[in-house]
Amino acid sequence: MKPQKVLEIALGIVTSIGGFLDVGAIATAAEAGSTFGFQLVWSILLGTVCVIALVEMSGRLAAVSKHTLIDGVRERLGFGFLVIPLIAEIAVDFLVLAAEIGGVCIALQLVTGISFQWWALPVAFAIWLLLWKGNFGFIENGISLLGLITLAFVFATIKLHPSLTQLGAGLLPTLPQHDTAHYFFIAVSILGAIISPYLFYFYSSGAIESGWSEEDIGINRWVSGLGMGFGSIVSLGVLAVAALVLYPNGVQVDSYEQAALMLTQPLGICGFWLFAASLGIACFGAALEISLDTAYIVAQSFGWNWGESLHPKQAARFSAVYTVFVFLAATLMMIGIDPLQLTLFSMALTAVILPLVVLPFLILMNDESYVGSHRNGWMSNSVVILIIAMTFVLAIVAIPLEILGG
Amino acid sequence: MRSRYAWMILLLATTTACGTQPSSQDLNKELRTVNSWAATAKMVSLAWLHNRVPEAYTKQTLHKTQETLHQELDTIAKVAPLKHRDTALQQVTQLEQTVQQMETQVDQQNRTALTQTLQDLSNQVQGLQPLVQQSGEQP
Repeated sequence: MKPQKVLEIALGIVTSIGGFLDVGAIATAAEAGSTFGFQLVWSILLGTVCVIALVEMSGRLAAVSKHTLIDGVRERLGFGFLVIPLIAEIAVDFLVLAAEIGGVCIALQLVTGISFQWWALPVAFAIWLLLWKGNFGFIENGISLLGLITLAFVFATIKLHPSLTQLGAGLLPTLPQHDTAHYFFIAVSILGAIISPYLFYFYSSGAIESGWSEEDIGINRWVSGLGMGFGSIVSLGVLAVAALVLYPNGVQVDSYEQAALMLTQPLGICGFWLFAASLGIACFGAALEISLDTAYIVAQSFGWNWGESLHPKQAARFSAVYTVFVFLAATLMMIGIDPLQLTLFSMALTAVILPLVVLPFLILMNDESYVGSHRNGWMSNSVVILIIAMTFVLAIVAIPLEILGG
Repeated sequence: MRSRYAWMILLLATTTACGTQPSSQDLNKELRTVNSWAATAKMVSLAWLHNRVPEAYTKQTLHKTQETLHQELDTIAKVAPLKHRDTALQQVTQLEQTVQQMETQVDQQNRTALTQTLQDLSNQVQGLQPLVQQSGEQP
């Protein structure tokens, strides 16, 4: 393998690790660990297997067919089919973006003591400015590299010496002794947070922006597999620290103020600052990606010019979408909606729309006119079918669980 | 058609009645929230005493704990069965006052007094446990 390819793979893996955590992953893993100890480890692993498979397919589709996922769905299944997942995805993106902005605002509140609502507008402006002035490479690599700070959770876990038996026991789903509805609600939210539809749209659009071709299929496989795999270790780190620090103390995470305590026991005052920095950077990076994702999917659905590397003048409607979207989402935080509750609600809602997003994979990834000889084999198809079945179950149970256990 | 409406009204009435009726299970849920926030107050104060968290954050968290405990008083007044209501309200009020005291002590940098109040908080949390257990056991 050429050194340049190795470097590209390494950068891809590192940025995937740094970019893995977002407000949903932090909130759901912290709540899971603080309320149920290690019992929900299985849901992070299950989500990771699903996301690796689907991200790899999004990248393969883009590299071989030079079509983003949205382009493929629109062309192959028609605008009539696309419009439903499009509207659902825009709605979910809106709520998740508000929650990500909320995450950054809470991080700033932790550091400064100034209430999170006051930070919503400045944060939205900073996001918009980076999108307006920056390019795809900067957003994808720069912020994700900063996101490596989230490895603090893995470091803290190692320092806390978790029991491998307990961790291992969490790999098998078991029923909790209390709050069964809440347990399943958190499990669904974890899956919704990890199998984020925006990831697939963003990843395939990014592959086109980066000019991937069939030669990059290997890079795609390594980056999606190892990057997402190692990234999920960070999520497991959050759950483990919450299980080892908050759970024994009887603190169940109902707000980010409570979650902020989790790194102080293993890492002292540095742990507090690292938590704030991890939350802020992870959410800021995710907010950039979600804003771009919304602009991507709207522009691609309507056939407009799109591209983060284009000057806003060359893709005016694309730039207008993220501009409006970022500032509208910030208003949810300005009016004082609880960021953690919004996060958990959005994650459950994400689970509801998953079947609409996953179903087209089965069609596109078996269509030779798109993926040629790189179409899915029986194993990949079996995985997609299992994921579709699982997402249908999640979609059906998400709302009742939200009511009963949310 | 008419019978369908009747069923719907009956279902709605039952749901509404269940939603507002006092129950030990609901009380247990609220008391666990109270416990969790009391544990938060204890943990954040201990962390402040060991210089593991900044003062602004400590005050903010203690203030949020007070607010939540105050909201819990309203909820408990609605959901607690009559036989547990007074005890529950009295104990949560006491916790709220203790947390308020802790916030003042952090504000005044009075570490000695805070250490003493933390002991009171622990005793109050322990005093709450029998009620948590009783409400958890009853259907």
